[in-house]
Amino acid sequence: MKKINLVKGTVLMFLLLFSCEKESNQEVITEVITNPIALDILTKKDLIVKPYHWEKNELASKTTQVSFEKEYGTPKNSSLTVVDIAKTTTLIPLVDTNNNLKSWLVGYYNAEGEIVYRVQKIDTSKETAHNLNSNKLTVKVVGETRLKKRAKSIASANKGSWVCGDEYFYGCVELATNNGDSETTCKWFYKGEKCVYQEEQTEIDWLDDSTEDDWQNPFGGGPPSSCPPGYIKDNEGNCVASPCARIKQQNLNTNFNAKIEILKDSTGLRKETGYAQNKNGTFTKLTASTDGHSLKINVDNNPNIIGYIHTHLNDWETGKIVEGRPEEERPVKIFSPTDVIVFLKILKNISVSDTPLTDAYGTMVSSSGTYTIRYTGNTNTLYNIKTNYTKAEKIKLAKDFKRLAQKKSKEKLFLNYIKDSMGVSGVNLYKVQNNGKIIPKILGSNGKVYKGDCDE
Amino acid sequence: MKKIFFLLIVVFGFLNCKAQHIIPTEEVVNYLGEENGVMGDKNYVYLKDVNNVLGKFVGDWAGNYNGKNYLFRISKATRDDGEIKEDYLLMRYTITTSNGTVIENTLSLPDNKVHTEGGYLAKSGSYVFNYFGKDSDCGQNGSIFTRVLESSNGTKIKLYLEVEGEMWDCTTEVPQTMPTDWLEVTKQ
Repeated sequence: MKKINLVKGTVLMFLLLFSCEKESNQEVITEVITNPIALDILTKKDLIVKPYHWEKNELASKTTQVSFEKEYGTPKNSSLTVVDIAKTTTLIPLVDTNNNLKSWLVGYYNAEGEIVYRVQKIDTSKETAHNLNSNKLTVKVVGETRLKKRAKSIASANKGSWVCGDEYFYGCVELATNNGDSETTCKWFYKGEKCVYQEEQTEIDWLDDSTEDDWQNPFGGGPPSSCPPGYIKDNEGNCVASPCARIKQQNLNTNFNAKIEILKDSTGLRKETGYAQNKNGTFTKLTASTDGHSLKINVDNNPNIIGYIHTHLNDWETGKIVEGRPEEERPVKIFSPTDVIVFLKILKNISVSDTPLTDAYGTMVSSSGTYTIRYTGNTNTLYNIKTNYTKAEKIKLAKDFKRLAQKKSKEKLFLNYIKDSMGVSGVNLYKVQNNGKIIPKILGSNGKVYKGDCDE
Repeated sequence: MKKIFFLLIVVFGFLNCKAQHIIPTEEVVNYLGEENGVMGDKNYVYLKDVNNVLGKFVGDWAGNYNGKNYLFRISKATRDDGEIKEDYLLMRYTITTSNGTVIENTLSLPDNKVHTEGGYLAKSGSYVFNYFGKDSDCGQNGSIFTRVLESSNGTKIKLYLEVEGEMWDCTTEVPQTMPTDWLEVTKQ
């Protein structure tokens, strides 16, 4: 019953938010933040942070100040140190006693609108990690959330519908000046899209009887049973933008398309063409091997690279002729094990940053079609996937794959091979047709490949 | 009655056999670009050297390239992964300097560790070995095109490595040890 009330209450709050754009009116509440995940990793002696739930604040014309509670090592009443408050993410640096960066506490809004804190980079010297407060950059999250009309279905109280809208918060940044004073500027920040699953709307219950556990999930225990259109659940139960939606979005990007067109015109060359895409959207051209035709890409420890696009060449005559008959090279037109390793490394790199894993991609353009790989697993699954192979293992993986890929169905082999021989899960294959249609290639439990549908 | 009994035995005999679809080695190349490869709609195929087109490659072949001595030992083998049974060629080799210093010797490697193996028989008549050299992760990989010269009456082979150069965790390309242009070797 309580759960239902919570849902109703949440829905009402959402509706209020959606319909009104209230200006904040300025009673100050201070929320103490604790973070059980941080606790696990940072040891008991370090900071205790409690998730701040934006829902709690929505009705009130109140101001909420986010702050840490000092336990050990962190200055008492220090403000939340935020490095980047753009969009959906806050970053809290955790440093050792010498102010060396040891890890990041990342707070982001999940599909339910909760702020989730997670330690993204783990260091062995956990004992001394504490909140960095030396740069005097503080943020107060004030005011209520407001939602703008971008809803696919308006909050019309239809049973079982998802309502989505853009979400903003009003924030103030207080920056210390050289003379010891501080300057404050306030504005609305875009927080991202929020979707709420709306069950039936009858009477209204307030959240007064909520417990801390309920805060974790206003929809009542456990993750949501389904996600709105365009979203899928990751392994942790969070709704994340589906690869289909991401690929569609990517295909609408002019810069990306321009590069794809270049690649489509380049599959007939003697060397592969390709680019690495940086986090800021720019592309870096990759260079090819001196003697060979493969591209070189080094993503090691580079969280700025979020993806790559490259060609696999058409069949081509090598120019070497004996007894009047020319030799022809027949390249394999699907991702190689090395391509997959590069993709996995990109994922591992960005997993310690605020970039969502679903942003990472690898694309291959060839005469047999354009393919993209995307990841839908979670961080834990990712860390369990091996990427550091011995020389002998690399040779075996590459050799076996090439031999089989020459002779078998490439899509089927690829999906089975990365699963069985490389222990990869969560990496999905998509074929992008020239008309823009995206076809997920799904491996059935019988080892066969089925066509999915991104338009469903 | 006897006839029916005999027929039953024949029918059951067929059912018990693993259905085997044979593709002659020289025709495999026609399937390389196909969506389902050699498998088509079959569960099991045998890429069989029905016409002994691989036999002429088998043997020891020696030659010299850029001051290095090469000895290639090509042998024929069969493997079966449950989907594809295949007759194929293996290439082992030694590379030595002019004064006899061994640069590389793969003669004693077991079949599954050999750096150079088939591959397929190209339309040109060359056997195309997939090459993953000792430092394959640093770019020593590609295709070794190997052609028995008709003009030599089967006593000479020309071969060369078309470098692919794929790198795996390696930032510096290692120089190739295989000839990257035609090397003529003579049957020993």
